[in-house]
Amino acid sequence: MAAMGFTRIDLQPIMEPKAMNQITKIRAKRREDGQGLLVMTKHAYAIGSAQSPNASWIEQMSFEMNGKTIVEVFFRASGGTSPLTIIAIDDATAGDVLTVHWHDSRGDSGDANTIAP
Amino acid sequence: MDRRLFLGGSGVGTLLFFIGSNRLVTQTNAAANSIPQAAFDARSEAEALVALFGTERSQPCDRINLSVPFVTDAALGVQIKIWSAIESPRAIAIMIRNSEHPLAAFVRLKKAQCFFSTHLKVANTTPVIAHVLTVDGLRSTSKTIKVTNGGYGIYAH
Repeated sequence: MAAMGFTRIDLQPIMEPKAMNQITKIRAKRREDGQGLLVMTKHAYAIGSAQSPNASWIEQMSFEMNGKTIVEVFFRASGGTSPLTIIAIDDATAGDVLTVHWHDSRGDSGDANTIAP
Repeated sequence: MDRRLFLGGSGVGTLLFFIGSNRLVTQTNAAANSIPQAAFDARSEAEALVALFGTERSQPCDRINLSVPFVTDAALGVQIKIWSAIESPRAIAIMIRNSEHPLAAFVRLKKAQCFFSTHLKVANTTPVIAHVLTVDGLRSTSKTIKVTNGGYGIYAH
């Protein structure tokens, strides 16, 4: 190759998987119609199909209010990068602690919390 | 029978029953909190519904609102939003019918409104179906997402 004027280049994958599980944002706000509270979470993870060895996706998210599970969400590998997931809850009062626990297909996990406005 | 033997035997029996029933409850809860893998591995919508809810009968319901874009690109995630005024919703299942594994997301609602929004990817033009488990049974609504090259085009429902 070098004799022909070419140099060997190590091809890198075009889309490297992002640093996973670095960001989990959770935010709560009152609904515009006044009926309950919206809880929004955003999480960065790599795009991939389930067949890809580099695929990583959130398998489960558990939303808790004051330590009690209110919603559980399960995903298959069909999400986009930084998916915004929103749920709505009824009887939250200001000061309630809202927590989201998650774990992904690689076995990583984490949590984040916020206070209900 | 000796009275002492009888009382002792019944006490041991009660203890064993108590331990056994507690173990049963723990196993049931663990199953309820775990990932519904059989449903996610199902290759048809009916199979996934049976794995999740034990039935494939889902009646169309106009009280469930489903918001999806008309047209999208295959590489983009689409925002899917489901909401309804149905009281006491128990679960929501989002199916992408033309996908290899139709079940894309499953939501177990314990103390929340019938509202769920997320981003999902679709590879081909496909109906997206939202199944909502209520106290009256399984209800559903659907809309079609058209996937075009670049996400351009006009498509009227």
